Amino acid sequence: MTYVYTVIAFGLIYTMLALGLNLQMGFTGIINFGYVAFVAIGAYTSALLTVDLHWPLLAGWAAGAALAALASYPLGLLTIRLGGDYFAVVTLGFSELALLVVLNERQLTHGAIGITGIHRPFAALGPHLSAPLALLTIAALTAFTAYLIWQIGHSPLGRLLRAIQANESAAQALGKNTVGYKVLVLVVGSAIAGLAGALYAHWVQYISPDQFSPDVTFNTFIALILGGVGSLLGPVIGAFVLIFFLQGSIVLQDYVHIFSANQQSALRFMIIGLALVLLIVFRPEGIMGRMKSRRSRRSADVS
Amino acid sequence: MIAELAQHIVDGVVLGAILALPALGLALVWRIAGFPHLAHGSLMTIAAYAAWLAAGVWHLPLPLAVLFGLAISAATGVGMHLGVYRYLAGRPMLNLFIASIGVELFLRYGVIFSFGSDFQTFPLPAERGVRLGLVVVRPLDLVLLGVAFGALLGVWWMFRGTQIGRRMRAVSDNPFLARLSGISPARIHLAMWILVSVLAGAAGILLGARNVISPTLGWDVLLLAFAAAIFGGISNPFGAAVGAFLMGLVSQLGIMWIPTSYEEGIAFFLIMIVLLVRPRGLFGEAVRA
Amino acid sequence: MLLEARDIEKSYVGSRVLKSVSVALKPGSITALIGPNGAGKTTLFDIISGFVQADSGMVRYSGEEITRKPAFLRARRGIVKTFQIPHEFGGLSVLDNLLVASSDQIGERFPVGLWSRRAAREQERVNTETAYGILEFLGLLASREVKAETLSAGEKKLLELARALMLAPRLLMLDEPLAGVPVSVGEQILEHLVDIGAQGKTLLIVEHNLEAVMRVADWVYVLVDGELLASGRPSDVQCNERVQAAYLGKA
Repeated sequence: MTYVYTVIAFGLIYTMLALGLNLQMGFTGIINFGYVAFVAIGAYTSALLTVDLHWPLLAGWAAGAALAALASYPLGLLTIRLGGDYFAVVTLGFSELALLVVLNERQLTHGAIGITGIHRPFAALGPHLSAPLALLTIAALTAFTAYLIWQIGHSPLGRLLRAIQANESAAQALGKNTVGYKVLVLVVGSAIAGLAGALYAHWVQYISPDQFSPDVTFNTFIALILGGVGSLLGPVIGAFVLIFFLQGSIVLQDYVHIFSANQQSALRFMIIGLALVLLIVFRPEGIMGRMKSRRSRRSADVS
Repeated sequence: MIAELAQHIVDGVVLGAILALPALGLALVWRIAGFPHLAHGSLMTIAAYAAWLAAGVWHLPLPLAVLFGLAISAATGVGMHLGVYRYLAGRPMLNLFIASIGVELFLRYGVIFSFGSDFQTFPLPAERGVRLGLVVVRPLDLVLLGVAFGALLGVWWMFRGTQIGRRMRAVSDNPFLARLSGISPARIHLAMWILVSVLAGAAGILLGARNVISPTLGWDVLLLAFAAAIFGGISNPFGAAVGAFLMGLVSQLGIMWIPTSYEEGIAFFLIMIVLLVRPRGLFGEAVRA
Repeated sequence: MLLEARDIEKSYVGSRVLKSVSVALKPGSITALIGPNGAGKTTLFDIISGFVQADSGMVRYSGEEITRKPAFLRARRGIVKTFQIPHEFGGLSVLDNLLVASSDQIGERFPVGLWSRRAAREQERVNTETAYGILEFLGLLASREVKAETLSAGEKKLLELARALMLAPRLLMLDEPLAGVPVSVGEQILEHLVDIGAQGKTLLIVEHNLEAVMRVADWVYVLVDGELLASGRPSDVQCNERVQAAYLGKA
């Protein structure tokens, strides 16, 4: 039963990650290759504040989301007007740097050893009650995030973001502060990533730098593309398909012994890489996607 | 202090020479195929492993092993182009970006699957450093500098003296105009991918010979190579090569003040500074609306 | 003068695109900017709309200097430009293209727009009415629900115009409104421009089609090789020998 809980919790957390990335990439067309950095900031902030400084759990989560948002703000302000390709490279560099900071600032982050003893929500109620209650909390927050994104998607704001993605200079010519909106989207998406990171830390109760490699960013891209970029329900489906694959292949490892454990985990990432390529080539609109993105693709060529 | 400084300068030049090869390639791909190629590091890694396999496991002579490594990286690059990127031409950059992540994951973990994640080293004869004035130079470094400069000269000759090279240069100078003038994109792309894969492969083998061969050999220097390409201005491949020497120097000199553990982070700061001070790079053209 | 650009200079790597060019637009006038390809028309146009920064010189708009103001702020002050190649929001419907353009929307603010939904809806209703009016005026009402990317080239040009009108501009700047448009649609657009001018808006038009320009403009500037060759009433400019030699002769 614990295992089922964990699979669902991971599915929900990746849903949340995909929702935040969808706001950035799907709605606005911002390519953030350093997404994991904001997840890590959220996770570490909350873990350190609650473990080392004994902050209450909710304050830790809020601080995690806030600090992730705060970190993205100057980055966005400085670099978002450079153009999508440069921004992608810059953010990739940022996530490498964040990882180095976590690894090297041992006094603050406990370095490679990681942080243990992070509390689960409702830990006082004992393991049998705390797991399902914590899961419910994560589910509620994920649902709230989905609702927020849905609201944005169906508001004039969402319409404007799609317009910016379709043609930024046209939006500027109509008096829209496109740079401001892109920074806003970066900040909100980063806050969501930070919250998801905090929830993750408090679910697994132990975090270390190797859990925040660029693979997390890439997994989120997969979840989003699998479900359909720019769609509203897509991230949920994509995230759960991804988690079922990842966790399922771990379970399979116990029964199939063709390859060594090392090879099996490598194979898993090879399949993920291959899936990403095949999806982009054959179904860029996602498994669940309507043919919508194919048209917006054409319009993006014009710009 | 001065000896230390001189040593860092030597190391920086050597690193720069190696970086110049993938940086030049990144600039070409960015310009001609239209996206920052994230799987470029894999080309380096694969060439290093292939050459190691030939030299260390099959006991082939070193030159043959190097050729084998280059052939494998060229084949990989052509495979990427024909199998993936070719189908995405004309789509938004985002598609190519993400596809190149997929390719990177597939290849990197393919290497781990085949060779494990342990470090490997080339079976090179033991060497002794040669003292040249203040600094100690490894003979290998001299070979390495020679090879890197030779490769750069080769590219320079190709861009001047051969038709395909001149066309490639024209496309890289102005992708839009080149398309209008009817230069066949298919052949240019194919030739470009062979060229950049061989360059990346050579850098991978050199890097592997100098340090160790690991599954993230290429990935680890990818950001520095990007910094070099951006610094030189992606519209100018030789600017990228010049940028690489500067990045090599700055990152090696940076170690004197910045803790070694942050070495890889230097790339990020370099990219940031370059982009903020001169968004189109040192040798890039001004933006024209 | 509603807008004045004085001594505008602009160079790109080595070549001087604009050499001390000055233009002035009278309120309520239709001014045309003509000249051969590469004369610097679009650059001057972009400097006035804020998409390009001049190397030197200044731009003054209704008594205020705006030389360094970013494009979006100029648009909010009433300087609205259209693009030569239509920049439609392809995936959005024609109506949504217009609704995006409406200024100062409550629903675009974050996070306020997410909870003051009633006010946002009310504003949306008013904007939709305005949009319907403009779509009807330009004959696009029937295709309001189709995606903008499916429109024909001529319809996209009209959409550009419609979107700009949503902002109720004081100075409407049109970059080759007739380029790439079938003759019949061109006639239509010209009529609309005359109507818009009659409503008291100021228009600045960059155009290749001389005959059309001469019909609608009250004032013409001729730009050749980055220099102002002549300016005046259309009939005077047409007779100017230098203009004929430099431009009309070649064209």
